[in-house]
Amino acid sequence: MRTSLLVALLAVFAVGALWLGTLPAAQAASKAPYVIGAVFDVTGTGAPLGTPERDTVLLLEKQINAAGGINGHPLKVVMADNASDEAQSVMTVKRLIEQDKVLAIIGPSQTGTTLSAAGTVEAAHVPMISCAAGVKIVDPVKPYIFKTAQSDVHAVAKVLDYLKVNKLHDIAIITVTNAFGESGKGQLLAQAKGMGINIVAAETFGATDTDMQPQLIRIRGTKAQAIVCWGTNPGPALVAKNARQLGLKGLIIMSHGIANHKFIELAGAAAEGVVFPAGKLLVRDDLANTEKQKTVLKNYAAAFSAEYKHEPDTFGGHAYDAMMVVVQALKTAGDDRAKLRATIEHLSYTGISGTFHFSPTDHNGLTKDSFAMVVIRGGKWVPLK
Amino acid sequence: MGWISNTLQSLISGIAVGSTYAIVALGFTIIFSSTEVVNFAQGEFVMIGAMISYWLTYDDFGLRWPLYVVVPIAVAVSAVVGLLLGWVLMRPRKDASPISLIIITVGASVLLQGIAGNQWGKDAVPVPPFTAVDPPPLDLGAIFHNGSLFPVSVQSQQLWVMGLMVLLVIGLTLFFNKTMVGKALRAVAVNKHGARLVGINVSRLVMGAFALSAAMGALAGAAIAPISTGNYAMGAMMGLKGFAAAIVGGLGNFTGSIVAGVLLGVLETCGAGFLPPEFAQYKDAFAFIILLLVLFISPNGIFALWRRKKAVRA
Amino acid sequence: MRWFTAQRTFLAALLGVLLAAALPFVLLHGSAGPLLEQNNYWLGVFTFIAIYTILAVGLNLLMGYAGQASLGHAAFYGIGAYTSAILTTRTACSPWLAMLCGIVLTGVVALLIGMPCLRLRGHYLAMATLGFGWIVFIVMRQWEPITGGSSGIENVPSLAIGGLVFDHDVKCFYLTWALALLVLVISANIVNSRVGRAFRAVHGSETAAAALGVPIARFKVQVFVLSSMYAALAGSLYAHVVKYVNPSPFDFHASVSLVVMGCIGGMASVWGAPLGAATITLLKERLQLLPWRDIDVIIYGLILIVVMVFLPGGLVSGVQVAVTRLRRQRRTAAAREGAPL
Repeated sequence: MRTSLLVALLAVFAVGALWLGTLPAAQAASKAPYVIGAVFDVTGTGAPLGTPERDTVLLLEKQINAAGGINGHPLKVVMADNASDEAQSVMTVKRLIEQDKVLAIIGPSQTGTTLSAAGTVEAAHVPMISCAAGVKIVDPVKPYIFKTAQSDVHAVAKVLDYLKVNKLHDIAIITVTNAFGESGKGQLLAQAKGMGINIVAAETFGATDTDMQPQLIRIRGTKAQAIVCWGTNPGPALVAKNARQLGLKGLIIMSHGIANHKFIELAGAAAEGVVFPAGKLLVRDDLANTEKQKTVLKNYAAAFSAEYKHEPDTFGGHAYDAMMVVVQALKTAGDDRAKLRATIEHLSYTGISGTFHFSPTDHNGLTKDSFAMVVIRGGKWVPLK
Repeated sequence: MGWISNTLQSLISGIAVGSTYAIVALGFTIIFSSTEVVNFAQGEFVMIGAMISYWLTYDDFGLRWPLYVVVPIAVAVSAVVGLLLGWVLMRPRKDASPISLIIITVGASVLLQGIAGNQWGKDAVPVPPFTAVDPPPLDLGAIFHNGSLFPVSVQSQQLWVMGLMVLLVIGLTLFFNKTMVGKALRAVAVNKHGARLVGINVSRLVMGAFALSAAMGALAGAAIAPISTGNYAMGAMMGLKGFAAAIVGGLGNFTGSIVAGVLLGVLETCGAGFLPPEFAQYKDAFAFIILLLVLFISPNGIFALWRRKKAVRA
Repeated sequence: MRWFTAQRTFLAALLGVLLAAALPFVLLHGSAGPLLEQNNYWLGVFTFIAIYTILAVGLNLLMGYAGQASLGHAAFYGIGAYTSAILTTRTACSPWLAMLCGIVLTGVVALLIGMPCLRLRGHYLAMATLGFGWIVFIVMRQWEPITGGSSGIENVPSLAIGGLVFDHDVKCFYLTWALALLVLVISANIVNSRVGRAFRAVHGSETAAAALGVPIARFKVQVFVLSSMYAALAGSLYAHVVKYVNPSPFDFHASVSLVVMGCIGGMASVWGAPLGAATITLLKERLQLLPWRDIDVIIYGLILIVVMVFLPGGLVSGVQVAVTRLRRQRRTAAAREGAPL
């Protein structure tokens, strides 16, 4: 009977395979379309990143095809979700490459899902433009992998510049214990020395922590003139709230991880006066008209708001840049993966996060000028001069 | 003198967080004594309480109901979910192994989290505090000295959480000692068959126990979320910490759960506050390390160490 | 249980090997049109199914034969993966030796956890493994100098035998399935041994088994250690196939989805494991194409509840029981009519 069970089991395998075989495959159009893949962390823990990224790519696909495609070729985006799962990310990328024969891949959204898929993408020689921030993605440079999210190196440099200009020499840092916070902490510790800034306390908190008072009490006992907090919601909101509650009156500086309305909602009154580096999307209306980025930013924001009835955020911006980088490259390289890669590696492009100058040694291509320092006043973002 | 103020401050936030763990631990205890099932979905009731409070008060959903309406609704919804879970757990065949009952509660936890993620998304959400105004910084030094010796600031919501815990404990004590239903539940906990023999409807009582512990969990959730913010997955951590407290206090031990819950909260905040950062970053693991130690050394809880006479069970 | 002979096991294993070996050829050269086009994607999916099979077998043995659940099995999976990744990237250790180290280390850890917990009656193991799983996850995330923190460890080398490097889809496929089948055959033999019969006795009635002189606690510990070592093997394979490890594949959710695989495959059914592993992996692949968020999580929850309420022995053993019952009925009916058996 065990044998029959095994046979039954294999039958189930077969049925499952057939079921999956009915996946929508790339259909043959009359004019050969350019097929690119997009994989984001749409469900699972990365959903707050993946959802606006997916929405942005769908919007762009529509816009580009309405405008006649790329050199007359329609653009087809095969959308996929890796459920924020590393193993799933590998399989999804394999599917896009093998099944859908994509020319390039946009995404994934997080450092873990990007790096787990990196080996597969490199082996298959398919260019992949990640929307994740982690510096490990492009350092050391992997030939086929690029990213459009700013590295923490630049955000930290911007923050330290600001501290130096304002003569704040003793700071306390408090960072979240995930990839984002660790990278920020590493950069803060590494760069502060050269800038003549002392880190008098280095505290951490967990991503699911509900109370940051103990760490802040320790900071209260130091001579720190400002607190630099590196994390994503809800941690930083709790840090701001707890700090004010404990009577810490000093300046609070945060990372670009709080560049969304959620932070202001969560922190309430404690958000007032918080300073952070942000992509220019947040302050697009305040940019000088001479800035090249301004039109790109305003057009994207207008189109996104019209389509989805809410404001776009920086994550959507990373997907916008990733998609447009591929589109720009397709215009000159055509449907050749190797040529695409070579073209991207020498591309210069102005998008949502700034002006990218990709090179064989820099697969991110941004500088600290892609950030602007912003302060929260009356629940609004105000750029600092 | 700063350290006294710091210690007091850590103690207060620890007791507030610990009160929530204690309420969740009580939920475990109530269900465990009546069914001998460890309900791994206990934390999800906390999440339900927090997320419904957010849902019905938040601008984006256009409801903005006052909290005195919202919190009872959250508690009621959670109680109904608890009732359903109790009902499902009574379904398997009588000879089903306890492992399958545990897995059912794990399934319920996953299911509730999935539904919450689907309904409310993955972002952290704000929940309004019960009262908007915080009390002025408390200054214990003022009693002995003319002011500003050990200033301690307390959020009004922290007072609410601690107060609710005390009220719940008093309420439950009265319930288990003075009411017929409460006494019947205790009878079920001591001996299920005996209880059935004297005419107690055991399955109805078990469902009632689930509803009660679910309601308590939701109340704890609505109370802690203004401090901690809410999100779809908050139940997992809350449930686990409460669970650790229940084990450390001795599963089924009422007083033990409360004491262990509060202790755990205090230990976490003090650990995070006084250990060097290299160790403090492992503070989430403290609860589990203590849990393992207790399981290995004294599986009936730390109080069983010096209190040899323990309830007969399992 | 006499029908379950060693011969049958051998035949089944042989059949499995042949079918598995043939699979890539079907997938690669199948002429059935677009359904079975050449496909490294499928090889990738089946490679993961093999890894999950190894994990699921361990859980099936544990749940079915020892009547215990592990709610932190992803921790053992993770220890295996991280030991391999750390030793091969930070020292000059050979991948095979690293794999062995991971398995041994995990076995020792499991022994230390299992010994105190399994001497007690009740479900202390579920609780202890749950706590242990979190501790391991937190350590993987926080111990940055060694584990690389949340962003993990890159460039884990591939496994190799002499000049044969298992770095590509087809090679990974054969490697993982060869090991998965090995684990299945070993497990089937254990189930069929004296020890295995003791396991079943333990699950049936501990009191009865104890009365028959079966050292229950020792068997429980043995099966727990074995299942954790399987998990470490799977983890090591994961690390060498994906070439990258980070903490999140080894979190509490991973432990839950392993339990789901175990439940589908059926407790106390070795050959159900690949079924459970395949069902969940394929289901995930399919579900992500649907527009509803978190539908996979919701379905996991429902599977756990429904299977445990209606078929507490798991899906496969549920079907098995039904079939056996049906046969017996037919046989008794036949006997009643005086027909020869």
